[in-house]
Amino acid sequence: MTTAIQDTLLVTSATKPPPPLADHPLGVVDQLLRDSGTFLDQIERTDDLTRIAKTLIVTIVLSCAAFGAAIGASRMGLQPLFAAVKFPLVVLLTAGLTVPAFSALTKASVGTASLRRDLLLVLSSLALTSMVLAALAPVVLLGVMLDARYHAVVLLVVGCCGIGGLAGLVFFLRGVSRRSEKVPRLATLIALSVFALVGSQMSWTLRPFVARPRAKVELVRSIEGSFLDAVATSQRSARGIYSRESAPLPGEAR
Amino acid sequence: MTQRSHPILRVLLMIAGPTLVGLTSLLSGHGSGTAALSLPALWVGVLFVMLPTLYIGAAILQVAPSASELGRAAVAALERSSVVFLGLVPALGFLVATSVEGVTAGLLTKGVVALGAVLGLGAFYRLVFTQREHRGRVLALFTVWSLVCLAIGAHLFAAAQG
Repeated sequence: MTTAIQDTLLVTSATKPPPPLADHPLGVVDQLLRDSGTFLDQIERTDDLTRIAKTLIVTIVLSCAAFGAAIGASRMGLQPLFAAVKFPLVVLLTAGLTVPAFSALTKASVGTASLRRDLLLVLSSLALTSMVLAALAPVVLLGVMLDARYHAVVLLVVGCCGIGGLAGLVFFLRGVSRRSEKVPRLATLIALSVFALVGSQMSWTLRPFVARPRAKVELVRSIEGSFLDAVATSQRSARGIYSRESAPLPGEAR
Repeated sequence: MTQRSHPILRVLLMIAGPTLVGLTSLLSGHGSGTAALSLPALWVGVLFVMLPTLYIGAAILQVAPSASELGRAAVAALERSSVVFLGLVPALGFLVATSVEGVTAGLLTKGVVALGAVLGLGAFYRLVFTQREHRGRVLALFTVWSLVCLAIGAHLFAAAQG
């Protein structure tokens, strides 16, 4: 009798559906932070995709704006505002350009894909990343207040983005692994590579975020090469091979 | 796209992906329209020209599917690789449009084409040969055949780009 009751309880708990997604936007965000497993299960089942997507987009915009303002605070004036506007754009535009690739790779691998649910998964991952970055914004501000040099601030920002990115990446991989149709690891790896490439180039295109001390404060610099070109140049500079005598002052020709 | 879709739609799907990838390469300001539009022709042409070779080799090694099965799998593989291309076109377009160096844009396009080719060949293998006996023979034959396809395709693509 006791065994039968225990068995019944086990079956009931195993088949019990997860709690529904919260109605209020703040409840959705809270659920994303506190119970990501349930959140992932629910976004695969819910039909209320538009509402959830809007909440996640607003979360990304506000959180990234906060972090952007913090990193822009290394140069006063309009730089914090510029960075607060551009940082959410980097994240959202990158997502917009790379979600089709993820859906296409999933479709080619398993035969079915839902662009809307893939977008929801990516937005959820980026919302979590953004909230971690917003939580780390005070750390960046502390560095700025302690008069950290330009390169130290850059490294601090890179470190914060690494932590936030890792949180989002783990969430994304958990979401992919929970799908009923298993997405091959190769497809996921390719999609992540595309995201990294596009994100890097998007950041490069919309730079600067942490303005150099000698540089003019401007919204966006003209496109000078690409991120990959800049990596190659930095590599040469690190080996002492420079293409010019010194960095130009504001107003000087490059 | 299901097997029951209209044949014209299936053909359009097969060539839409490589066509858009070819046209995306023009965003860099380098390259020609002719070179860009050669990609879909190469994509479909090389595979279908090489199919008899695969069939004959597989038949000699006693691992051949039926000719119709091979043809259907080839079409399905082309559709899948086209879908991959369609998904990558937005990202590729952005990266090419924001690259100042023509070399970078060219490398990106070639990278995407190579990725589509490898994924398409993988899909083709899974559709036709996964359930076959003599896995060793199948894998050896398909690997050699794939490498020849890739080499011919790469040579013709490079020649079309000038």
